[in-house]
Amino acid sequence: MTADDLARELGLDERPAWLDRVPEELGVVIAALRERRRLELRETIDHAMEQVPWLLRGALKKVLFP
Amino acid sequence: MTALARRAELAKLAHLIGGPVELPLEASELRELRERLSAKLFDDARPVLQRVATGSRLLPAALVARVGEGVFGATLCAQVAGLLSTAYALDLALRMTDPFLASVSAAIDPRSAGEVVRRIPADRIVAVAHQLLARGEYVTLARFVDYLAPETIGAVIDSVTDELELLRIGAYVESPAKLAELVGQLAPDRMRAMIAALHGANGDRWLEALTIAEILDDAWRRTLGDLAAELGDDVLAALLEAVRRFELWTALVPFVLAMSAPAQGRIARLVLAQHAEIEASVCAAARACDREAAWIALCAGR
Repeated sequence: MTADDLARELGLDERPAWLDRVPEELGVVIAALRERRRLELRETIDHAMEQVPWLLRGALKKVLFP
Repeated sequence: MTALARRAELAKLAHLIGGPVELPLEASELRELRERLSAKLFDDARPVLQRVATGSRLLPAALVARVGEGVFGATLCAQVAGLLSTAYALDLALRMTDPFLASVSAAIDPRSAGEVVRRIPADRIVAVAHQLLARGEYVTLARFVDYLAPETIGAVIDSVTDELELLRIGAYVESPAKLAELVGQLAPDRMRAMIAALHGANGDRWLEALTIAEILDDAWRRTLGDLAAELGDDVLAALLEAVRRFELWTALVPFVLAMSAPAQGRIARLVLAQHAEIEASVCAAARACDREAAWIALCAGR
């Protein structure tokens, strides 16, 4: 992963000079962290829905999954 | 910023990433990287979390708190908290257990929930702080110092009996003004006890003590340095040994030059009694800090 890729990964409009000194491996770690967080969030919401009384699930689903 | 500030920033970044990290960056650059990454992770999840925050209002608060603690977990609750109204977030927080609130604290961005944190009663803050101490979450505790009222910080300090635990928190406080306020809440006998405890502790604690001394102003450096000198040459020798071990000469010079003349003299005598290479290291550090003349004058007076 290049410094430009890492800048994009971090959502930076401009690439600060120090980014050139960051090893490529960090970009991989960050990408994996973001993906892990995304999957965890999805799984957690699915699990949370199971805890909600079924009468309320319909209304909640409309808000959570429009 | 020095190696000490860099070390603290690496610890904070490791805390966010969830594992040890070593990068060839300065402290200010590490801080920018950490803040950018933290913001990016939150932005990734924001649309979903916003819907969760909206959806939670359809459910009774007791159920939301129970699902939050039992299913959502600390990281997500921490992120959603910043999207709720202060009153509602506080209502939910007060329904949760101390261990869970401690986990939320470790994951939350205090800037997004500062008002909620400020409104939590002091006795709950003390209980959560002890949960965090038991987990060694010094970075988390330090992040909240900026957002708590002085009297709440005082209640936490009074409840922590181990002065070295307070030292470890202080080393990660970012705001010099807040750190000075924190140190100012310590009674002189507790400051003395902290420095005495340092003498028997491992070298890492001296590293944290020097981090604090570096952030504080000269008045506090003088107070702490003079207290160390009062405790005897053994304590000053242990300080010098830690400086030698971690090569923190540039942190030592301003600390010593802020002390009173008698304390400075004792340190200078100890340095001059050591190997010539130690003296040369201190002189080089004094030169790097533009304090060479002051250091030479100090040594010449011994």
